Amino acid sequence: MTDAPAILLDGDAIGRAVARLAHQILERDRAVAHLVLVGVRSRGVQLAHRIARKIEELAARGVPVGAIDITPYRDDVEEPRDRIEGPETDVAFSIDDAVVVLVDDVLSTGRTVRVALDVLGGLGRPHAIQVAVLVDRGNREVPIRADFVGQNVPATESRRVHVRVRELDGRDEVALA
Amino acid sequence: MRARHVLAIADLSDEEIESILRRAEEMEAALEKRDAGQAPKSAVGRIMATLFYEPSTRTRLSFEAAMWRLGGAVISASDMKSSSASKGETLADTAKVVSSYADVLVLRHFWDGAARVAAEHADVPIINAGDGSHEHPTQTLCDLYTLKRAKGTLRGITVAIGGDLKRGRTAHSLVRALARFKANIVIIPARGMEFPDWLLQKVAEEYGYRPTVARPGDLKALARDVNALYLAPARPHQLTLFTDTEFDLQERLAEAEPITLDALYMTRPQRERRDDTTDDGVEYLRVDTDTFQDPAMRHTVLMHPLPRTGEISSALDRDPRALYFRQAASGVPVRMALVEMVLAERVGRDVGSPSARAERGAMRVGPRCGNPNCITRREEVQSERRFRFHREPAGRAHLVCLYCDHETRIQVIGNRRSKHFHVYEEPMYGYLDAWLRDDALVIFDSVKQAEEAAYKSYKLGPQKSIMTAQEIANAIAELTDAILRDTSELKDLVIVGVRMAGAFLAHRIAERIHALRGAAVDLGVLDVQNGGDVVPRWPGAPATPGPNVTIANRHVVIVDDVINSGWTAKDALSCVWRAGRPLSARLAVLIDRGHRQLPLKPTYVGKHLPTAPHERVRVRLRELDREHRDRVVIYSYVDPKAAA
Repeated sequence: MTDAPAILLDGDAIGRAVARLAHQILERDRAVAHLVLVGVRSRGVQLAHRIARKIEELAARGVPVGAIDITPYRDDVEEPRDRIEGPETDVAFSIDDAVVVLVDDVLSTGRTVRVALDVLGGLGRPHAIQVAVLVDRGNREVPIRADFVGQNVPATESRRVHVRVRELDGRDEVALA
Repeated sequence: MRARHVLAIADLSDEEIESILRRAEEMEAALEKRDAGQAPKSAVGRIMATLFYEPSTRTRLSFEAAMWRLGGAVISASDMKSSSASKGETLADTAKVVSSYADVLVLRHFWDGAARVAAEHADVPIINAGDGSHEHPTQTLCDLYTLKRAKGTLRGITVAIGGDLKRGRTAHSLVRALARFKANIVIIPARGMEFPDWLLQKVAEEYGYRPTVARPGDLKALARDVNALYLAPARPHQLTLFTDTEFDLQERLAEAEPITLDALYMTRPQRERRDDTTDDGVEYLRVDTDTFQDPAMRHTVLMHPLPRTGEISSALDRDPRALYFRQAASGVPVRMALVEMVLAERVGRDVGSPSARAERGAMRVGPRCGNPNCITRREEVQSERRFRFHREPAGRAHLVCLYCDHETRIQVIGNRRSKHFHVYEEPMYGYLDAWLRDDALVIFDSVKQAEEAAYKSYKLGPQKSIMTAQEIANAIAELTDAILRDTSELKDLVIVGVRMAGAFLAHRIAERIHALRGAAVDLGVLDVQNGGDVVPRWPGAPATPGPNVTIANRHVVIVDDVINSGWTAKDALSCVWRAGRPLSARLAVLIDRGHRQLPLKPTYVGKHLPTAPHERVRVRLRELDREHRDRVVIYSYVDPKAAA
């Protein structure tokens, strides 16, 4: 075992993973008239936009992209809260009766997705909510599963997963460190 | 004679509002000469009780000042949240009790629709001083009063409303009132703080008006480069939609004619409704002396419901166009006029009509409101009428909550006489209408809820047994063993059953853990339909007030009988998180039948049962269904359209 940072996915591999996610989403939801993507800030939003562009290429259909912000409700928050929406939540379309694909960079404990489900529930009445993630690294603490996964990392892997995206970090990569 | 409540601005007719505004002017004039004792003493000997569950300075003090000025007296509880509410007293009970001490009750509460619940139980008029993010009618009256005093009329004036329009109930009420009195409206939301769609739809439906949307940057452009807001000639009553591209703006300006902005109404970011303290990077509309230097803004008055949090520079305070302090001062005369009207209309003490009494406890089943902050999800509402129908031309029908105005989709309809139910679809509108006319209509959240209320599907196919009592017992044993394998410390474990069947299964699992380990495990029950508190009690027993089961820093296993779409499980998770932050949550189900609409995967499954969507799976338990032995059955559900 080495402690040096290892590149799990480089820029090309991320591109392929995004394309694969877009294909899988289309395959499953092709018949869905009202498909929308909602990214979890921050990197989930960038990924959601890329998946949407890919879907547009593949199926010649536009898919609205929104963003939700759950920063005030991350894992370190102890107090229960009723109103669940961060300042940067920006979903400028109706999600009523839509199939909402929630996009995030890493799925681990599942706590983020659980909060996101509540936030989405507060925004409308979707028909269904699905989850697409670039990396699923296991260690679940909530009974959440992803519908679409770019890359699995075994739960035994002790290193942290770092997802970097061009728009925010200057380059695309997923590294273990 | 029922008490005259003012719960929403819509409770007041146009004439009443105009008469209140006129009377408020008289009150204000009288107050200015108060040394001469000119203020009308129309409330001598009457008592106002103020119940504030949320902090407020202006609203509360101006109500109390108004009552004293009218010659009446005020009683109030200093902090409702720490008194009766914390002892578990319901709002209904508090309103009932306090109304026997006073002649009028002023209520502010954090749940949407709370004022209506209080009105149902109080014997005196209730004035809503703000309920959650629902309504705040007296603030709107003050806004209308200030605008009308400054501009002489409301009809045809152009008012821009800026800031946090998503959560601000002030802005919600104001936009509807302005549309009602035929003012032009420009809305300038901060990013991510737009008016909710339902509100704009409502304004469009009720008044045939769509406010114009501008961006925070447009106002700066307006003050700096442009002489006024502009009207598109093609639609003279609507302002053009500003976009963020300079090109569009220029193009529109070229073909537009100028109008003046009569008022700018600013609101603050609603931090207390958002639970965060940062607003870094959020583009929020701010106005300062520069904004108001432009000649085009010469006659634009500036309003704000206060308190402000930096969105209006204090340098503007001495500007005669800054009306926010006058607006706050108007609170007293306006509320005097309103209180006077409410007290004058009440004849005798209302003891509640017999029909209102009979309604209590009549029907407990029925849909729940889709708004998580609605009072009906927090407190048991005993009125049978909780919704009104909203029909759309296409045969779509919604339920509109009578308490918080939120729209909820109809899921399952039942006939009270025949005790049958249908899953609701648009073509079934005829049934709904007919049953409603016959007073036989019952609406359920789910098929499961209908079945638990002993309603039968309109037409059932043959039943087929899926699991015998022995198989169910084996499955429960396996679930229990699996849970124990993942548990190191029994004291860290909490088993929470989802009412009804899940609660009985949870109880059996807890019993088996006790038998195997010789120690009791904490057992809770949660009812996702009804507030969702996790309470320690035998599933069949009525709710008793008491401490809830501790969730924080423990491993929670949620138990339910069947998982299908996953919505119930998701609600159960939300309920658990509301009670505290667990170390982990797991989900144990007797049967997983697929068809998931949510990204949930049960941790422990007794039996995977692939089913078709039209099939129904029922877990029938001794305790719940009074049967001789447990069993799981599956049957086809015949589409009522086909059956009809």
